[in-house]
Amino acid sequence: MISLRNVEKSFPTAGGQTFVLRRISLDIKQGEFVTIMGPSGAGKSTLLAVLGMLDGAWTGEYFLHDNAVHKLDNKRRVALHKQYVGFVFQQYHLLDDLTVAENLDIPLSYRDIKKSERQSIVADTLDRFGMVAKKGLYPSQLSGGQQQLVAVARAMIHKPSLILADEPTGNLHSAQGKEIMELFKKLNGEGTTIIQVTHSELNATYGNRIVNLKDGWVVED
Amino acid sequence: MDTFLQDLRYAYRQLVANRSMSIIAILTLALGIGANMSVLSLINATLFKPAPASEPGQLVWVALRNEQRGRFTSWSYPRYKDFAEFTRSYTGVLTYGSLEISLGGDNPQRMRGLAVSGNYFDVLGLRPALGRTLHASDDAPGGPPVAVISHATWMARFGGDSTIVGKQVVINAQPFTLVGVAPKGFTGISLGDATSVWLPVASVAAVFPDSDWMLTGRNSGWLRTVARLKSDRSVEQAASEAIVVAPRLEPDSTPPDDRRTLVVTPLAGGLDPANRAEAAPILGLIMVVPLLVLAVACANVANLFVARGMRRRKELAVRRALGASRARLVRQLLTECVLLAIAAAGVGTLVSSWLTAIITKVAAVPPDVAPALVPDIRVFIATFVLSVAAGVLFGLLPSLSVTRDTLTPALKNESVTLRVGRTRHYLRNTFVVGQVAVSLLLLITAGLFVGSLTKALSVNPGFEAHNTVAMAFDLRAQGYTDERINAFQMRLLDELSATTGIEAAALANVIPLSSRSMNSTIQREGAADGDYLTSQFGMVTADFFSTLRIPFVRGRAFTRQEVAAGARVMVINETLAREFWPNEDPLGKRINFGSGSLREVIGVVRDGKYRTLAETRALSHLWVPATTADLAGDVTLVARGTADTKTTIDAATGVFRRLDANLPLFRIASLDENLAGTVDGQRAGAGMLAVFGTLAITLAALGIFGVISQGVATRTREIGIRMSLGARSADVVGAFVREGLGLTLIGGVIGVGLSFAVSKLLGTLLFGLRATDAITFASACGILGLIALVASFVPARRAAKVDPLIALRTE
Repeated sequence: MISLRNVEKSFPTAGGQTFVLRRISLDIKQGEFVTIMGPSGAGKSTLLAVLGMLDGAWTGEYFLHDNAVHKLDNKRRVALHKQYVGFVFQQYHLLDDLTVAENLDIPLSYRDIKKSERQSIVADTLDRFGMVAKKGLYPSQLSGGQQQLVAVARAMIHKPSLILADEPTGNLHSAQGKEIMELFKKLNGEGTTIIQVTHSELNATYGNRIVNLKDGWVVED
Repeated sequence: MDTFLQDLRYAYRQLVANRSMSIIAILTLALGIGANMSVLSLINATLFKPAPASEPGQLVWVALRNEQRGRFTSWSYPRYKDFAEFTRSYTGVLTYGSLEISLGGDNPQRMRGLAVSGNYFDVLGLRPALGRTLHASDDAPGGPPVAVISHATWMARFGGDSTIVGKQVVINAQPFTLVGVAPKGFTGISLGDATSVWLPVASVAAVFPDSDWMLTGRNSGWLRTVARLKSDRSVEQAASEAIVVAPRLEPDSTPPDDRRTLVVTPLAGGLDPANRAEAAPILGLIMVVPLLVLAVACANVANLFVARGMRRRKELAVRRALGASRARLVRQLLTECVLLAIAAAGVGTLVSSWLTAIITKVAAVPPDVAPALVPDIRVFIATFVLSVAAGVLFGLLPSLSVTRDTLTPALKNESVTLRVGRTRHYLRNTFVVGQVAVSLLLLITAGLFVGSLTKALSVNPGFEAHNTVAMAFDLRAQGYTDERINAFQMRLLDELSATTGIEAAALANVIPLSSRSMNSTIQREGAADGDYLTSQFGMVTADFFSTLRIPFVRGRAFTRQEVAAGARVMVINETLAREFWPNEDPLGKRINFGSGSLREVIGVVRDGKYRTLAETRALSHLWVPATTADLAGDVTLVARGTADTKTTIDAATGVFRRLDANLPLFRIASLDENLAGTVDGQRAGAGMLAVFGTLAITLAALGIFGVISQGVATRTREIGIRMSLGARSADVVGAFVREGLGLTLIGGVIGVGLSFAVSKLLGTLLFGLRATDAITFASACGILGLIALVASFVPARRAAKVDPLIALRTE
């Protein structure tokens, strides 16, 4: 599903080029639950951004579902992102001015899905994640765990084949974190590929593969 | 459509959520949009507003144009009659010409009349409010003396009396029958017509004795012509026909360079083709000014959006992560901008009515024109389009800028990268520099016009205007015979000379700087046939020069005996003396003036201003003693008082009332007012530029204030570090003030450059001042510098109050 070959990312500094990712080569199959670990500044989040096509300034080769991402222009990358990728963030990143239902609706509207169809999908998702009663609430009216639940639901709503999660439980207490990780496990069981970045050994146990980064290099897989 | 509505909904929420910023942006834009709406209203009223008529789209101006001389000319009655007979493109052709008439009765008044063809109201498709309108039969030679009055006159003069139809009124001492009242609000089809009475053209013979030329002179133009197209004819077809018809209106004897063509144009706006041709380029230039103000306002709001965009980076990054393309994000942001601009247009409508009131007052817009400046649907549509364009203008660059980022840092709440930060800083500074440059351009231009106006008002007019008043009256229009006119004038001057508070008084057919002038070709004695020149002239009574205190450089004024006897003498000005006898004494020389009679020069007066205070070329002028016949019609009394002008006017009015209680007095004004009136154009330009220049400089000051404030807010931590390392308050304040003044300096240099470039266009519009006047440039730069200093200092002072301990805890 995912194949990275010699992916590198750097930026210019006064002393020359500073590398964030070094010669990353990685293959991830459909249905895997991969955990990326490593110390702060190792390049974990940057790698996630490259995989999610949020960051376009890198070199090397990247294939996603046999699409050569490295050869695509920005427009096609956005299209590919829309088709395959869902994101979950440590800070949830719900849009404060939108209700729960509207937050769920946003990814669908960016995919030009008709309003009636979107309403139906949002209703199903709210039901599936047990949030029907909270659909009219704003993020500030929810607990951290509830916000992350909405964030996961939002990442899943357009049925992506790949979920990228950056420290998804970093801001949650342990019970809420467990609930979210169980949810990931369930989604993975249903066939969704999941790649998470975490410092938590416990969270890593939910996955079936760990990739360790240090100073931009893959030091263990 | 669905996603557009979604964008609109979210945009609305964003604007409500950021209420303070939205209000500031809306008010800022409203100033710019309001300024444009005011000028659009003016342009609409003059160039586009449909005529107050039924189906105005079918109405066209038919104008005469002398292509050789490149100007439009008025219609004579015979030409109009011929055209109406020859043309086949119209269902009706009307003509009209304005008159000043006296409506007699208990409260005699001088009024604006319109002599119109009998089909005037029919062609316009207007129905009377009462009675009937004029008919073709009313306009036939020997037709009945009938008149239609305006609704306003009906109300003001006759108290809305519904039995007025069929009653007699006295117009210029002639009995007329009122046959109807024009529709409410209708005062004519030209801007500022303000017609009170409509008369058939044929009746001018009765109203104005000795006016045969008005009906029979083929080259005596005084009319304008309007026609209604047949339903199956277009303007182009009518214009094609006009090419064929035009030569038939010219007698064979017409010299080639005096032949006229016919120009057919849709009747839109309140200006006839002649005035329209003059006004359109000026209006185009005028429109540039509020557009510049709007550009300055847009720059301010763009800066607000750049700042807000930096605060919204996380939200935008999340949207990108959820699948939004950059184009979609830009669209979302632009929707917010456009929505904001439309809200600003709503507020701008209020600002516009306020600005229009100010401009009307400052620019001395005639009261008759002011009602036409009320915006209509065209102005609202144009304003809406302009607002949307403004929204895109101020929103596009910030939207493109904030959506260009790498998203990862924003998602991790990291600060913006050095490169992106610099780019945005650069963008904001560019906006400020731009608005400073444009504001300075407007400020300098306004300064030049105000300076020019001041120069014009301080120029010596060649006479002493202070404490002197002018009042016009028309005895002929009251039916006076020559004998009665003579007796009246003598008694008037005698009684005025005996009136307390009146120092001197005289009569004249025209007085200098009164918006009326007369000229004639003259020839010095013994000159060859072609050796003549055109000179202004006045016909005056004996005390004219002493009343106006016009200084003599040679010779003397007329005696009463010379005036009474109609002596063949004249007084000339220095320019005329130089023109005819550059190296000789003009006294005793003779000039051929009017009807082939020679007059002896008995005095030479100092040159003065005659048409406008701002005239740059010295005009030749002569005065002759007025005979009774010379002062039989519209004549002006000038009276010098010993007290204020109101007292003088009251005293003179009292004398008039004792002599004839029913004599209408008009054009009552102090000569100071007359003088000021001759520079109304300059005053209008200076007033409007001053208003818009003030707006622009205020907006620019806000822009500088905003950028420095933003700098203080985003650099709080840096300020804390610097202060903890020993920086003094003055160092911190100085750094920010230097930044503000630095931007102002760059903008100022560009603004001065722009002003120099524009000065080439302004040269001919200014009086007594070069378009590169150093004092004006320096003053404007000084004002801008001072304002920039204050706008920088206020937020900079806040920076100096930063507590290092608190500042270092901020992110």
